[in-house]
Amino acid sequence: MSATAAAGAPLTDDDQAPISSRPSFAARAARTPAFVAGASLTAALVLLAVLAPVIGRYSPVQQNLLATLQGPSAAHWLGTDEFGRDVWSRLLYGGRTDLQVGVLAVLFPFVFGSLLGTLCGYLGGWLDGIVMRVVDVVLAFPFYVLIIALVFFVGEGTHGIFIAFALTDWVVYARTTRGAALVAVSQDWVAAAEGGGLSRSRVLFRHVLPNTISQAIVYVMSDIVLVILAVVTLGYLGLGIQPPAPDWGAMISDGQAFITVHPWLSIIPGIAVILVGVGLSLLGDGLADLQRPQ
Amino acid sequence: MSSLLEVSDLTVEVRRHHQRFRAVDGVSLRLPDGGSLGIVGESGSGKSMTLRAIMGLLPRTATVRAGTVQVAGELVADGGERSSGDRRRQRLAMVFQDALSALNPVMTVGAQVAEAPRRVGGLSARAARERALGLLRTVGIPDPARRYDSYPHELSGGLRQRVMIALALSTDPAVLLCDEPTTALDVTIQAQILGLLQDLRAAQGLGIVFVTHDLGVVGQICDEIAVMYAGRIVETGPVGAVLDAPRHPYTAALLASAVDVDDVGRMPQAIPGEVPDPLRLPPGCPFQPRCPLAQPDCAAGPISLRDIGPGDVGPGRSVACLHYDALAAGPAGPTGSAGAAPMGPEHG
Repeated sequence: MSATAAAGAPLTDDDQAPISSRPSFAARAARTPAFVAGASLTAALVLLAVLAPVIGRYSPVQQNLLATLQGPSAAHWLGTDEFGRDVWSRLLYGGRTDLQVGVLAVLFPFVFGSLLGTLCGYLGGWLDGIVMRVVDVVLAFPFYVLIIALVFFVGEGTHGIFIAFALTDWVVYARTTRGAALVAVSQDWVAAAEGGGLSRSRVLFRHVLPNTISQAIVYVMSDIVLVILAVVTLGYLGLGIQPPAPDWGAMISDGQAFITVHPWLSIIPGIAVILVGVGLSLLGDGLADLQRPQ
Repeated sequence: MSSLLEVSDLTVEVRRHHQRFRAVDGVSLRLPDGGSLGIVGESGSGKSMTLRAIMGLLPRTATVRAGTVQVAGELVADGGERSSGDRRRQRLAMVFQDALSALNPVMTVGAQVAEAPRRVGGLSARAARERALGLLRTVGIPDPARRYDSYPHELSGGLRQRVMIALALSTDPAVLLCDEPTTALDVTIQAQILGLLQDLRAAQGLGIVFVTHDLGVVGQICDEIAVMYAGRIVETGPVGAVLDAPRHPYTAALLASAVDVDDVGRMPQAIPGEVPDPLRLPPGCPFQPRCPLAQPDCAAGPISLRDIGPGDVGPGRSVACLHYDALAAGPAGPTGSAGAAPMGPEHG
């Protein structure tokens, strides 16, 4: 073995092969069916909610007691409810409220839980011990019982929902990212980064966190569905968005009184909930598929 | 002769199932300027643990109990002290066995190599990029400007290992600690990487500590060899002299267990018995239950490394064996009588 066989040594064919350009994220996304379906469905629903003032035609709270419980017509595409309010408009505005609450409610749990979980997995020790016991305690409660109790305690409406989710939902992110961080820490690249003299915060944020956050991002999609279902459930129980503001949960529960004669009043917002759930779940699956190495 | 790296009495304790054992027990090593030292031993002999302890990168379950590390006369680690701003991070760098797991999968290789020069060395973003490109060129990566933006999984095993070496060099170390860097590679790539390390050593005066279980590799690139067994060094000396005339029965058995391409008629001989459980080490010499030369006094008490040179073995030789003279007797070596040797009872 001499110097000639070193840096300039003949490389294998593999190494000499031209560097194929990496397909862009968009190109790969377009070839992932779950992502395409989920993204289109979600985008369509979000677009409808955003455009509610334009395509809603009526105010969602405007009552018309002369035209209550009407079937679909040219004037009211999906008919009217027991106060003569336009169902189509209420559906769009309700989606606006529910989607907004869903996205906002997972924001804090996502950021806080992912940071804390990654930190616990990276540092270990007493912090990890304490945080994970708290996580165990929160997870030991049935989810809805805990949420309903908290909303009841801090007060109904959107702020109650935000606080209830902020207090409970971070545990799922913390547990997921902690697991991913533990895997990362056992890999030599964390040792290599530390061995290179980088600060611990640099290793944490630049190296470990990007490897743990992807799993949290996938979960965000399912989590938004979970929040929307919770909001709808709370609305159904009268603890959610307060009337007369439109909300799918309240629409389902209000329509229940007329379920035998005017079933669409409950079924239509129910279908909307299902569509959002399917859309976001497919989007989450698609993102997970995209993250898997090809 | 001044020494570039000097490790004294390094002891590492590992916790397993609520029990503690010494994975590295009183290891002392010396690497002269521009020297290269090979540490060999079976899996579990503590060679990788020694390297990680020197670097201060032990897993959570392991702690340094005693020992000092000096680089070029400067004390960089003393006993169990541990801090992230460690001086040794600037003087020592590690090359890991598996480059795929030793490179961050979600960062481009260029960004990883440029990171230490930028964050630790304080270079500007542009200067750090130039430095990284220079390093990638130094380690023989073709067209570094294009490979710079590749992710680790997009590179071949050989290129990844070169990136790893570039990453190790990015902190401008005095000594490279290599943890079986060629084990995961096929033979041709292995030869290239070994050549690269030789080159770096010649061109930059880098000291190299090379951990491996492959005696052939040590013979190729190292001047000195240290043989480890059960967390202790059992034999050291110049690599040629030790491989030609081993004086510790374990070294001899290790040599006899290797395939020799120049002597295909000779079958490699396995070492009888198995590596002792570190939680239940046999008394005295840890190799004694498997050793064909074992005598009752071998189990009597701890056996330390003793200077045996020059005599008939040449200078700079040390061995931790009471009966090393027996190996001088003939070329047959100890393994010739391995089958007939009394095997100690399995530990426990």
